[in-house]
Amino acid sequence: MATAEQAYKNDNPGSIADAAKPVIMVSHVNKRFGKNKVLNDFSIELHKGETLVVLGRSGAGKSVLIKLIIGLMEPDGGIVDVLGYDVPKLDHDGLDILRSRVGFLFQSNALYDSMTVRENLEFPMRRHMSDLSPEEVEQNVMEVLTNVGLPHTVDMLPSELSGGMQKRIALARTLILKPEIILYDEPTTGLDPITGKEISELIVEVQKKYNTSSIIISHDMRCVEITADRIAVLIDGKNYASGTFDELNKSTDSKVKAFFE
Amino acid sequence: MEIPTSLRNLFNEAGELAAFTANFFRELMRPKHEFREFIKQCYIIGYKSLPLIALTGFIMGLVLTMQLRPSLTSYGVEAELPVMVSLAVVREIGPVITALIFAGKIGSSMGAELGSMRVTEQIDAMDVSGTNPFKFLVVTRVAAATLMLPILVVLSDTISLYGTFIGVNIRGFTSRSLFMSQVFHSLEFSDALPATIKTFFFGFAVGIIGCFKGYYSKRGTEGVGRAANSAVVVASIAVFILDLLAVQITDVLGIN
Repeated sequence: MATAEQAYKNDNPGSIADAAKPVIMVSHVNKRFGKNKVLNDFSIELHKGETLVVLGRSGAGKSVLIKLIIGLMEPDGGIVDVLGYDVPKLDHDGLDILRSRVGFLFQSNALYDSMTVRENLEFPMRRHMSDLSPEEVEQNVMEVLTNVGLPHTVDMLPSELSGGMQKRIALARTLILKPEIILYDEPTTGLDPITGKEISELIVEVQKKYNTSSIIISHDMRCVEITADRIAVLIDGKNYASGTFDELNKSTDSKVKAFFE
Repeated sequence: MEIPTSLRNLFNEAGELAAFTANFFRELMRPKHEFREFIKQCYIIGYKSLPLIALTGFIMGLVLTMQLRPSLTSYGVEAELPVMVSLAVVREIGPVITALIFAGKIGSSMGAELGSMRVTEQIDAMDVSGTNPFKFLVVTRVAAATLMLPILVVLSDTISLYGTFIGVNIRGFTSRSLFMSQVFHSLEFSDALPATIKTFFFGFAVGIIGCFKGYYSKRGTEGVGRAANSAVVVASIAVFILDLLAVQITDVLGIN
């Protein structure tokens, strides 16, 4: 295990000196669970300011991919480089530093149900921004809640909110540390089409406002169409095809076409 | 000879529990302690368990007195009723019954809470937000359970003696001062100390087993229910095994 600094390959830890250098580089990654090979020589790159959607069927390994990127799982082989950090080699402290710069929106929202919305939002700040005064913490909480359109929910419990509102709060919690990269795990799953569209538009809105780079895991084509700058299609553990929405929409490959029909 | 699957699973789980316990002590020693969460857990585990523990303690003293009276009367030693009951409560019944009630209330709630947090990815969310979930969730709960159970047992014993006093006076009359004099004349430091020390181990066992079952709960709501249920069963068995060991140790040390 290496610290964040040791795991960084360049002289300037965590900074992207070269604008052309991808902020995330997943290269020839393999991951298997028992006999099931979920990722098989899988590679993708994410560039600064870009939104990349990873499209794939349920159980294809999409969620595993972003858990490898954030260090919740370790690959069996290959390179996972995020903001210059060699993720599998990071120790706990190194992962903490990385995770303060990379946000993660969970499919199930993962809001702490014993805490109010305010406490949910303060929680990551207490870890990473402990030098902030109570006034600054409050200001950040209200700012991010206003950005997701729910400032009035600050003292409510997650159980008192609808699915769409919970998703917005989860996004607010992801945004509160002002991450450079956000990873979205199926952000519209379980939502009705109208709320799903609102969440997709909100993702685009915060993307512009916070100038983040994003990877979105999804099989909701409406969400993909609204959010994607580029799409990577994950089939049989490989990056089977990639391109813009329009390019892939015109694809004649039956496996790719199946997603767009 | 092939080892049966159930036996292999039992050994596997025992090994995982041992590793989990080792991790607890490692994280307990590492700085950056979660004092705020620990205090919160002491409040939840200790203060909020008080009404239940008090009620069961009172009933325990009362019922034990009423059950023992006919036997003691038949031997003509009814006057020894306060002494007999207080010794039984302080040395054995109080710690064990309170620990079992504690396992039912706290062990199951730990199993269910952590299990549901695992299923809904809240533990992963804690991890990605830069918080060590083991330290935040497990260390605080186990430490609070270890510290709170002895306090609850002392309170339960005290309330139980009050129940005994009422039980003694249901048929007959013993003044409060005579009752207290009889009880405290017969009770010695060596009765209370080992009984109190073992409750730290009972509390630790309930906490570590409850957290272990919940923390590694399998995905799905069925897994949460199973985690809560097995937390209570295993913790209750652990209380009896620890009690058996405590009796043997005090016997060997000659403080029985």
